Parts: sequence; C-alpha cells; structure tokens
Amino acid sequence: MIIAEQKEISEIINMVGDHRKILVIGCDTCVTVCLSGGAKEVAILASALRLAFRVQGKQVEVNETTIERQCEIEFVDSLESMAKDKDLLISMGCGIGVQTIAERFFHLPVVPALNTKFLGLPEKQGVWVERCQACGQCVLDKTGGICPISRCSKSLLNGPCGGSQNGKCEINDEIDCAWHLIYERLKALNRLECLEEIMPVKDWSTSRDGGPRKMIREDMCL
Amino acid sequence: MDFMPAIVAFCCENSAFRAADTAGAKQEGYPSNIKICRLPCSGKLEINYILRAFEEGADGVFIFACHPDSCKFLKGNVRAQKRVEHTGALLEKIGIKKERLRFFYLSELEWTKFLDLVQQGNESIKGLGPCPTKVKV
Repeated sequence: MIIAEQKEISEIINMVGDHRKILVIGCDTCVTVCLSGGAKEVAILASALRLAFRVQGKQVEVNETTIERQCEIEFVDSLESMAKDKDLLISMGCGIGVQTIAERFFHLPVVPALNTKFLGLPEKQGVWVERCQACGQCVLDKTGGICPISRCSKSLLNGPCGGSQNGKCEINDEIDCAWHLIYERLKALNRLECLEEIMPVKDWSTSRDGGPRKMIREDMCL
Repeated sequence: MDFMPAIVAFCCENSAFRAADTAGAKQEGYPSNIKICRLPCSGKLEINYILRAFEEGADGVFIFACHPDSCKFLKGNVRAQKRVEHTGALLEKIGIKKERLRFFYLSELEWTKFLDLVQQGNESIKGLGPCPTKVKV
C-alpha cells in the first residue's frame, strides 16, 4: 500500500492562509491503514485546525468527511455537495488523491495534508517499511521474493556490494543488506543457482526515467 | 469574580473512576468544576477526545490511568500516556500550553491522592487562566 505521513500542523495552517471555509477530506484506503489520513486522523486534524484558528482569533469554518478512495473519480464525485460552498479543500489522501480531487474540482484550491512516502507494508504496529519502487519491471522471481531495487540502498541487481557487513548495509547498520536476505532466502529454497545468473543492465525506461507512465488495457476500455 | 476553570477528567473505570466515586461519597473537598468522563480503560483514550474537550470549552484536561503494570488490559495505560505526550506536543504547536493537559497514574484505592491531584491541578489551571480557545471571534 501507499505509505504517507502527516505534515507538520504549522505547515498545514500556513497553507490555509486566508481561506475561511475549509473541507478536510480523508481516504478510507491506504492512508487509513497507515494511520495518517483515515476518518480518525481527519477528525484530529479538523479539530486541531478549529482550535488553532480560535487561538489566532480567526473565524474559519472547518468541515470534515472521508471517502472510500480519493484515487477514483467516482468516489471523489461524492464530495460535490460538501465541496461546493468551500474555498479550500485539504486532502488527507496520498499524492494521487490530492491530484484526483484537483482534477475533479478544477476551480477549487486543493492542498495536501500528507507527505506521500513510499510503497510498503506495516512491519509492526507503528512501523512501516518500503518494499516496492514501482520500477515497472519486476525481478522478484530471480531474487527469492526480495526486491533489490527497493531494499538495496544502491538498487544493485548483482549484489551484494563491498559494504555489506554481517548482513547489514553500510548506509546504516539498522538496514538489512537486501542481497544478504536474498542469499538466505534462496538458500532456504534450495535455489542458490539463481545467483549465478548475471542480471543485465536494467532498462529504467519502465521506471521514472521514461517520464510519467501510463497503462492501457484495450480489453478493458469501453 | 474568581476564574473557575472547566476541567474534564478522563478516568479509567478500573481505577481512577472508582477513586473519584469514593472521593465524591466522602464529601471532602471534591472540586465541583471537574467533569468526569468514564473510560473502559485509559487505552480507549483517543487524541480526538482531548481535542474535542478543548473545543467544547475545557480549560484543562486530566487523564487518569492505572499504575504501570497494573492495567487490566495490559498496556492501555502505556498507550494512553504516549497519546497524551503526542497530544501535548500538538497542543503547543497550535498555541495551547501543554500544561493544560495532565496525565496521572492512580489506583482505585488512592481516593485521597485523587483529591490532592485534582485540587492541585485545578489550581495550576487557574494559574494559566482561561484557555485561549475560549476567546470569542
């Protein structure tokens, strides 16, 4: 899922500026699971903003709502009635959610309350870790299900590098060496021969090097 | 006229709520401006409960949790304390002194300590004056 974290409240207050009718919008999908932009976080942010503006002596109306998914226009459509009399929308969705709302409500300013961090999973309660960089060319079949692109600090395809020490990365000894993990996993699977195959230079055009990406499935197009 | 702060006390029903009940029954100086809010465990405390209390006009919010290692639900009190610390930092950032939010450990038997804490807390909130969120706009 997409992992995001809330911006500093002072930054969000600055973004509000002189706007007086605000709608804080949450998203029930990824950012709810990573505890940064669900209904509960929306209630906290809206309440904190109301208190902050009262302290500043400003009369600002702050409403709140949470929709199923901010990254699908059909769900964003449901904001129409609440958004129509507002002068600012604050999205607590990921960067995709903010942009979907901006596209749908073209004449209304939309600002992000979150910083979108990465694609990952909760390692334990309150801790999230990166697992995918959406490079567009998955090699997990060759690496025992452990991604060297996202989990190796250098994204090496033929690791480990010389900085791997006792299974840890030279960048930070709290980071596992991805290639050590790959070795251990392939060994457990009795597939160490996978490591003898040299992976060629990666074609990064399927990643961000190819510019903004688009996927089309003709069979699904109406 | 003396400023009488509005104080909301979130109390775990397994400890402080019972202590407050005893303190009330004893009729020995229980401040009338403390509004008790009963929680099934202090771990049920949500950040938003505290913020809403300030929104609704509280000048101070007190949280009473069971002593460390005494939580009926094991770690509810630890979680409550973490949330209170987080909320205190948030309150400071939006212009509300974090001293308006207090966290205490208490057992159900400590009703005299409950009285001491709420009386002392009451005085400290009086010293801070009305919460700035009460200013009319």
